[in-house]
Amino acid sequence: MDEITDLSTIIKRGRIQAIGNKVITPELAAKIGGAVGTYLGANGIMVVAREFNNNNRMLKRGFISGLMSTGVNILNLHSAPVPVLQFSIRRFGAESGVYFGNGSASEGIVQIRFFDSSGIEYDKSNLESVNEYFRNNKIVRANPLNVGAISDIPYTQDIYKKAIPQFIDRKLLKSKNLVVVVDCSYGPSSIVVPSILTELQNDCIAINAYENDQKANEMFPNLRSIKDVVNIVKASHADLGIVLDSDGSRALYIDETGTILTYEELMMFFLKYDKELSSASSGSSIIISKSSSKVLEQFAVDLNELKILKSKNYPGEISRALREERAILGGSDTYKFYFPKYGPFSDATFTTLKILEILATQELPLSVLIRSFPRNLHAYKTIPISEENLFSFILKLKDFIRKKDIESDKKLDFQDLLIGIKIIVKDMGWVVISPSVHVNTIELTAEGFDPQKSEELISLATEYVENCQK
Amino acid sequence: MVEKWSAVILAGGIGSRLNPLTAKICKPMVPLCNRPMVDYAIDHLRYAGIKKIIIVVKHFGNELRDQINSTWTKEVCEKLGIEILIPKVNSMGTADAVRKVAEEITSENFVVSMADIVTNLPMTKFMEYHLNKKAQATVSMKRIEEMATKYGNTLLDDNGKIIRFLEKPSSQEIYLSALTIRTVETLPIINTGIYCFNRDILDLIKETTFMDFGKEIFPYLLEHQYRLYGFVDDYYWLDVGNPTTYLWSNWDILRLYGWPITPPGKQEEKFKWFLEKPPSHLKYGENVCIGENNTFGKDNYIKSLTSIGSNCTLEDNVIMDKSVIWDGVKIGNNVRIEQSVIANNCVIGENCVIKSCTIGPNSTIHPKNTINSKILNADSIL
Repeated sequence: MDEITDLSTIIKRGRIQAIGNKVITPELAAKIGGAVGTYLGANGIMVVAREFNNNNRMLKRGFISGLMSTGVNILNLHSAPVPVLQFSIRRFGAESGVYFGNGSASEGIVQIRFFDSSGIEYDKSNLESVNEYFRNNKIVRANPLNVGAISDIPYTQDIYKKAIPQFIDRKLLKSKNLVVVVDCSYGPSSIVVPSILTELQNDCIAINAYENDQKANEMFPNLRSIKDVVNIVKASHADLGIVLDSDGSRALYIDETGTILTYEELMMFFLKYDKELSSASSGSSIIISKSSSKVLEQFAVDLNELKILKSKNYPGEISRALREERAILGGSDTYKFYFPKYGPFSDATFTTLKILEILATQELPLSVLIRSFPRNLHAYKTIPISEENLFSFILKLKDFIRKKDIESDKKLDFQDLLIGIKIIVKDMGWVVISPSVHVNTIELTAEGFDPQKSEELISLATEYVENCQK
Repeated sequence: MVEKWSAVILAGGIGSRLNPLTAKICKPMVPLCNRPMVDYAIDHLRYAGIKKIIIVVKHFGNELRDQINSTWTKEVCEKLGIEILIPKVNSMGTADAVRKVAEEITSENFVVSMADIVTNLPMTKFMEYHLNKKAQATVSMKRIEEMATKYGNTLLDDNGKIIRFLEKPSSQEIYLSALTIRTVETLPIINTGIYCFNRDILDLIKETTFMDFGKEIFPYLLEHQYRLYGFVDDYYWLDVGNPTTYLWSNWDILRLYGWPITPPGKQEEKFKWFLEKPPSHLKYGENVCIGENNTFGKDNYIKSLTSIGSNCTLEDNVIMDKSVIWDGVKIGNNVRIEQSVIANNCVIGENCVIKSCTIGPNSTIHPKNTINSKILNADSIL
């Protein structure tokens, strides 16, 4: 493997991303740490965390060495979900944070994500500045007596667990004893989510809620794990099913009938039923990703003449827009929800508590509450598939997109929706390709700029589905 | 209740972090939406019914005094029923400033405020809280989202009594303090720089050599078990500390987040404030404020969240977006300015594009320049 001399070769969608220990080696991680430390300046404070698995652990340690060498002090969180890291940066007044994780990627891919003092991911210019130091080998090492210090902050998860329920009506929630199924996807959310839910007297059924090195190279969540949650929700008559992404920043939500809610339904759910949002003054702003359904825009306008602002779905962009516009809610079609009263970032734990609070207030099942919401005027198609191929379909589709170099087509953009892939086509609209959790089919849903374009998008997606199985 | 109060505004800040905007003026003179910051502080106190306001000036003291006196003339003050005093004193710190004007404080309780923060802290609620607690000192506070290490942090008991100050603590100290307090707050609580005092405190200030409230007076009060309270509420507060937060504070005032603080001028249309009605050919968006004696050419577009001062000239086809233009600025044809601050008397040549920049006073940008994310000192030539 050639030595990396320019980080721009491994920066994808605003994050450093490549295969761990092949492309991102411990030596490279240390050099990146040195560049970041130089960018922050000596005596800066950075909070450092990671997902489970030894690949992340090893690289984090390499990075820390480089960072300390520049005089930056470190608060070490060890394994923690991304939102706990973001919470810690703000809670302890640090200048920056870094996270080593896998996201929903597979095959040993490591993502290195940086955060500013507000817990918002670095923007392009921040990363370019870091790369300047990296590319030109302008790393400024500290005097041996002024090397950065490293401090463990082991009770941070406890501080987070006590803090986050303060934003909701705990008394009400405790009185309802809701039944919740939560899949932690073998991620570090398992350290906090089940205990927060149990503390609030929900009957919590937690699955995949431990560290499992055997599963380190598998993609979680996947269709099988999502189907398991759907089935457990139905069998246990649960009020809500949650499938967390392994980094804890987002989740899929399943109603008591076993139906996965769309991002648009969840946004409408918050806007209509959340006490503060539903009483926001007309003209208040909400930020949504550019590829959100038009139905959501219309709903927000009809509900309270809310001002809709659209943002690129790029790391940190919605957070920045939220802060700049002083918006009341943000959401992206990748199932990230932003409640500024809590923080300018998406935290699946907080989103879950918001949903449970509304269920406790409304005293109706989730499926009933969303029944009256307007549906999208989509083109729709199902393609039959064998059970064997169904479970491996998303991996094959991702592989197909990568190998055919479709990713580099500037007219196309791809969003990982945890259960499927959303393809956004410039000047046309978007189409979602996702396997069904109920029958052996691939479902295609498109929203084009007009009906003709919707049909064209369905044709494009059909082509992808057929080609990726060859 | 309010007759029992007077107030001291500390207006001695240099504002070095705001440089180059403070190259030729002091921080309290820096205009926010065409009004100097100190005017917002005066309004904030008089809206709470405080009739006697003492202002302590230092850097650019004469200029600031003249500016305050020209706005808050004897006639204006009489009409509003307020008294503004600007004694000639030379203070060495926040507490020393109050010591030097102590003789002018005749009320039972008094407020100490700053001239370089923008806030709509509910003053009357704050003052009532101070009286209800029978406090000797009450500090305004707020939960803050980020960079708590840059401010004084405070720990309170369940009754609002201050139990510890952490003056610009390290992250490790904040972490440890979060572990020691049972009622864990989600965010750090910081001192937002407005205080209510009982006049007992004046005796302490006079009898000691303490210079600073944050570093000396409050720790002393805490150690000697004075009745020292914190008033924590959810209100708008922005430390106008650097050019970025300066720009944000202008936007927030235009969005009326600081209500009842508003930009000057008539609001002839919703969220648009004009000191003088702009020409009919001028196109402008929402949340804008425009001063007087300006000349606008053809096809100008003043987009949302923009503030334009007075005596400016905009030639043809100038587009401004989310920007702040001070007084006496001249802008040539075909110029685009986005998310930038242009200080007094700058000249921008034609066909320039300026994005995310702060340009110090009296600077000249020659034609056909494109500048991005730059801070230019006063008197720059580019």
